[in-house]
Amino acid sequence: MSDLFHIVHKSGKAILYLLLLLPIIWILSGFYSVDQNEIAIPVFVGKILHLRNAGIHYNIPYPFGEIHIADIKKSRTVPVGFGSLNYDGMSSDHLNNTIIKYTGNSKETVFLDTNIFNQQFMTGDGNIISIEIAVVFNISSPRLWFFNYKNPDLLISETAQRLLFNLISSSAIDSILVRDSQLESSMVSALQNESVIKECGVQISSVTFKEVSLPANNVENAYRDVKSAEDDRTRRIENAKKEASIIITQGKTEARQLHDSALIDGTNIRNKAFTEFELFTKMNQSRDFENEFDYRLYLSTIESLFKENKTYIIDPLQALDTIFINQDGD
Amino acid sequence: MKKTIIIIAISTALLLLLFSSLYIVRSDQFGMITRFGKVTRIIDQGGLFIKMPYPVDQVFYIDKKKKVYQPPPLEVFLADDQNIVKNVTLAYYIIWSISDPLRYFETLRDENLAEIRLENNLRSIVNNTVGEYSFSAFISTVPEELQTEKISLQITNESKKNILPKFGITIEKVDINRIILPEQNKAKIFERMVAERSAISNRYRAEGEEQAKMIISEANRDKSLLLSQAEMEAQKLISEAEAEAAAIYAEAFNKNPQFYKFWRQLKSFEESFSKDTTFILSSDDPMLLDGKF
Repeated sequence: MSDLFHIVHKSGKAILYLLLLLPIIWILSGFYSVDQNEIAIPVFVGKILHLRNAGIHYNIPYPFGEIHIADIKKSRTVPVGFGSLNYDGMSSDHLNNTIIKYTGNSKETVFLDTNIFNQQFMTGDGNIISIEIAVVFNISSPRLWFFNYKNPDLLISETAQRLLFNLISSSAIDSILVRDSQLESSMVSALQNESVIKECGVQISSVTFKEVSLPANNVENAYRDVKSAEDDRTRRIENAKKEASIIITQGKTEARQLHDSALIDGTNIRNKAFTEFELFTKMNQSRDFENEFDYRLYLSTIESLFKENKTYIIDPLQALDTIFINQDGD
Repeated sequence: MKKTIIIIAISTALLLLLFSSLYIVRSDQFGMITRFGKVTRIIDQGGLFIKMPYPVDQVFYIDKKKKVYQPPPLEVFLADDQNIVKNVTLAYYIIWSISDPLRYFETLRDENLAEIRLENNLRSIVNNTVGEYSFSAFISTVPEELQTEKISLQITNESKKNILPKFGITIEKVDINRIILPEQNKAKIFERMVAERSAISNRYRAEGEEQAKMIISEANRDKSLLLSQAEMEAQKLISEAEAEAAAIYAEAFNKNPQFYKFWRQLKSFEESFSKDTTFILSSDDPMLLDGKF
């Protein structure tokens, strides 16, 4: 019994010391540090105090005080159109996998493929396209970020989706498939002008179109074939131009050949005439005894003809008896 | 020692009593104080307050912050018009907050329950409002036809009138953020998309073929023109040469017409008869006579 009393006596002192120490520890736990890119919002007994910049600060600890710290330089990303919306540590597929269908008084729950539903949008010209974008922002007003909306990430996502829907539902599919940088900049400015975005206390940095694609394989193939057909058209025309160039070049070559041939022929004709003229003139001048000269000329011509060719001489009175003079003169 | 223990016990009890009497309400909360289940006080600003200790007084907190809720998508029927699309799947979201905490506390008290009630109440408003419009009010390349923002505003205003009195909730905004056709309609749209693009592909290829034919036919025409011009020129050159040759021959003829004729005949024999010619002559042929011709 005395031992027990001794133990209780000793532990009582320890408890006393502990009780004295605990408040000191609790008080000291109120110190906190704020980094260079951060802003802290201290709350004391429910009231928001002045914001704190970088440095070591003190606030009465919980349950009387709270500290909310926001990194205002850190870029945060919210996806839109992704199958499952996991962002900034908040896992959520906040769209249930169902559609509610009402027919008269009856209600039917139909399964919805959330992944496809999230990604698909209808374009202004009645086509369907799959889009995923990422909205990048940073906190500009920590007070608004922490205390105005319960789920500001979700608000940004929903607002971005609405603006994307407005943009896509008023545009033709071709202008979206091109992925003009104007699409991204118009989304950024539309988001920045939204009052709810300002109420969230964020600044939109950028909107990136991560994925713009066609929703089904056969559709994608058909669109790809258009590009292929365009290339085929260009290629066909280029080939035709090359062929045309060859044809023209051939034509020019043949025309030149005709011209050159005609020149040569013309020259030959002139030369022949001139040569014969000269020969005739000489012969004419050389004819001392005209008949004799002519006769000799005749004979030499006939002789050379008969020498070079086969000749048959037939006596008309004796048709069966023939005299044959061959090339050798026999 | 006994005294010490008693002091500690009493101090602890007093502290516990004190802590259970104090409560903090944050500036983004409402504090509802109930005494034996009945609401006796509503705190709508941040601070430290005192109450009777539990179980006499209890404090419930209600989040003042605005909330975003996205109900499950809804299949809605559109106004009957020329368009073949009669029903669509519509997604929307609601921004709401609690403006009458007492009413909210009495009717709902729980946010999940509140969202279910919102959805149920909004269902008919959304259906009725959207049902007045056709497909082109949501999907169109003609800006004047689009009325999504106007429809969203109409739904917002209608829901503001109907929901606040019942549940102490304020609808800040209801916005439509997605419309898509039901699954059974998509197949037809995909078919149409494929058909449209196939037509474009065929047109491109046909254009390419047509233009290629035109280019080649033009080239052939140009070539024919070149050649015919070249032939004409060649003819002209030959004609000029022959004319000159004729003049030369005429000059020779004029020197001695008779001898020229004789000489020309002999020349024609030499030019006409090639080495492969066979002569078959009669013995009384003038060629074999004395040259009298």
